[in-house]
Amino acid sequence: MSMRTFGWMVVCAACLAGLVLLGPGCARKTVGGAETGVSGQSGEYLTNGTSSNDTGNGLSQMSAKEMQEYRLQEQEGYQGNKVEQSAQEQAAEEEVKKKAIENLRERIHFPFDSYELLVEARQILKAKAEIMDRYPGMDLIIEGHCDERGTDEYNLALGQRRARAAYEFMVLLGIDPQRLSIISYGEERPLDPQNNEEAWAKNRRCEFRVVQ
Amino acid sequence: MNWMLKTVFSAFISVVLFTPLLSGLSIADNSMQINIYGPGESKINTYLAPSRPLSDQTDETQTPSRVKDLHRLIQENLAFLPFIHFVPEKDIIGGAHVRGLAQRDLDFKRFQLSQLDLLCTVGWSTGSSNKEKVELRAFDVYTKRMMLGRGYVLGSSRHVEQASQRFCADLMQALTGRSGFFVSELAFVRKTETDKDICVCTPQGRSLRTVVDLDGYCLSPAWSGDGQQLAMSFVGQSQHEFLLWYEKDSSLQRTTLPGNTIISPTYWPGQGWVISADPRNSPDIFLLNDDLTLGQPLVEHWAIDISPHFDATGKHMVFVSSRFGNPHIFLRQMDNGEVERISFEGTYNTNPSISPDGRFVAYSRLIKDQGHRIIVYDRQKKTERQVTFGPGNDEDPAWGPDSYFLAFSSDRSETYQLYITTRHADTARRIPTGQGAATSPAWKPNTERFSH
Repeated sequence: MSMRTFGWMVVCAACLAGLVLLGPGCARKTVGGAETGVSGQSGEYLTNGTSSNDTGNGLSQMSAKEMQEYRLQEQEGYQGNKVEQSAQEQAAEEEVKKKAIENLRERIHFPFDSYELLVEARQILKAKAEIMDRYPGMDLIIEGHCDERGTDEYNLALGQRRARAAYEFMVLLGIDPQRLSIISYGEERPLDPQNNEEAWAKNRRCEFRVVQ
Repeated sequence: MNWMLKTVFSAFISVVLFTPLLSGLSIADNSMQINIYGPGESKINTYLAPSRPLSDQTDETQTPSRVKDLHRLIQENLAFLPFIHFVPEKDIIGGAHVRGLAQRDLDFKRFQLSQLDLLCTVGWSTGSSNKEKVELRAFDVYTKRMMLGRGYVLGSSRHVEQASQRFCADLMQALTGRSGFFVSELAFVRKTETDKDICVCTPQGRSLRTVVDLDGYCLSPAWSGDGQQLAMSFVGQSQHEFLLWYEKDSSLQRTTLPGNTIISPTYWPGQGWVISADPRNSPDIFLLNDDLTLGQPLVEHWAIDISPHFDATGKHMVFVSSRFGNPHIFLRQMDNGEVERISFEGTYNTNPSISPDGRFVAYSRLIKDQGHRIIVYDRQKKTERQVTFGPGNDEDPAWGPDSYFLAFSSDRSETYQLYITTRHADTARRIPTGQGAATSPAWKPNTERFSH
């Protein structure tokens, strides 16, 4: 090994030693420049001088108590978010349920002196059956109504047949008969008390009362 | 106090109110008779003379108010009889007043010239204890014979009403051989702002009272054979019930039955209550057991079977069935179960009522572009006749106990009210029933006759 070669080796070793000495200092500066953060290694907390343990060089360190409080706060925040999210989900579910009840209450209508279920009525009843499948806690009282024409007694019977037709259709769709009951009001509870064809058409109906 | 009341009441009943008092007054044989079951065109020209004191010493301008009321009520009552035609005072030759009250005091000639058939006089006297004594007489003007004489003591407005009813009942009996119209009562449904109640009144609209008032709809009242019970169906908030009201103590018995619907109760003479119920999914007609549970079926069919009604013998039952697609009237022979169809015309025939004598069936038919009208089917002649002509809808026909009068409901004056006609389609007269729509009249059977 010549003297010249030895000299280069010394220079290189010195450079390496210098790098080794400078390395940690640079690393600290980098971490210390961050706005917030938790050291995963030592529990040191680096902040912008908000800590009471400010070391004066931009590095703040939390006490164990503070750290515990902080963790508790963070956990509460997390749980708060979770509760909020759950409330939102519940509200959405309530909204869906409300809509379901509205749909369950949708009326069906009949032609004069008839208890035959029209196509539209069947579709409405099918939708009701699906809702009742989804909400096993919801039962229905089916009310049969008639227009004012005709006699009280025949209209009571006709109202019964209308309610019965809806009842039987829903039972065919798989709804437990125990969840359905019927009552006929005949012509006693008109929706529209007027004496014309439009009013009569409205009054020839089944109404659905939801029991939860 | 009770003792006093009893004494007064007994005295009233036994001594005065229903006694044929008037010495010398008795129902004479009379030549004036009207056959209410005939063609229905005969009219009796009638004059009810102004009341006058029994004694000439009394000032006739001092007529007591109860006597005036009695005079008015008799006039109003008799106006319900379609064969009575009141001759106006101005048409009485020689003036309206009568010189006396008894046969010997009356100048029949001027009444004959006035073309009167029947003359009624009212005499009164005031007694002690604030009561009036009245004497009512009816004369056949042509033969100059007294047909009827009755005396009453009036101590209250109730007495006035009773006296008018009883005198008119006896007069009708003397003229036609029947008196049911003034002896019976009508139950009916009255609509209030929120529900429907059951009321009772005379066929002339008197003694009006509410007997059942519940939170719901009381419908289809029907009397028992003895008139002591009144049945009805009740539509409550969540179920139907069968109700029995007992006249004796105004108590109410409530019963539910298998199924969801209780419609149109009626009484089967000699058997018990009959009702339309749906234990097998469709309204059928059943006899109720004594304990008001569902008994044997009388009509079973997949169609609607409702509105049963029996004649007085219980041998015939009419009912509505939709077995041919639309509601029609049928009659069932109760001994052999044979069913006969009664209505053929129209597509909506409901509310049958068979006359107590079993000959006529009245029902309501929906006539296109007109509304409901009452039809009477004669089972003997096998013909039918329309007996009401609107306007509006005429429904709920109900035969009176005499098989002559027909009560029905009509909205000819916009709100449903009760009216009276006869099987001869006489002009319908409205029964005053106060505020609220009135429907579903039901006659109480004749169970008592006055004794005199």
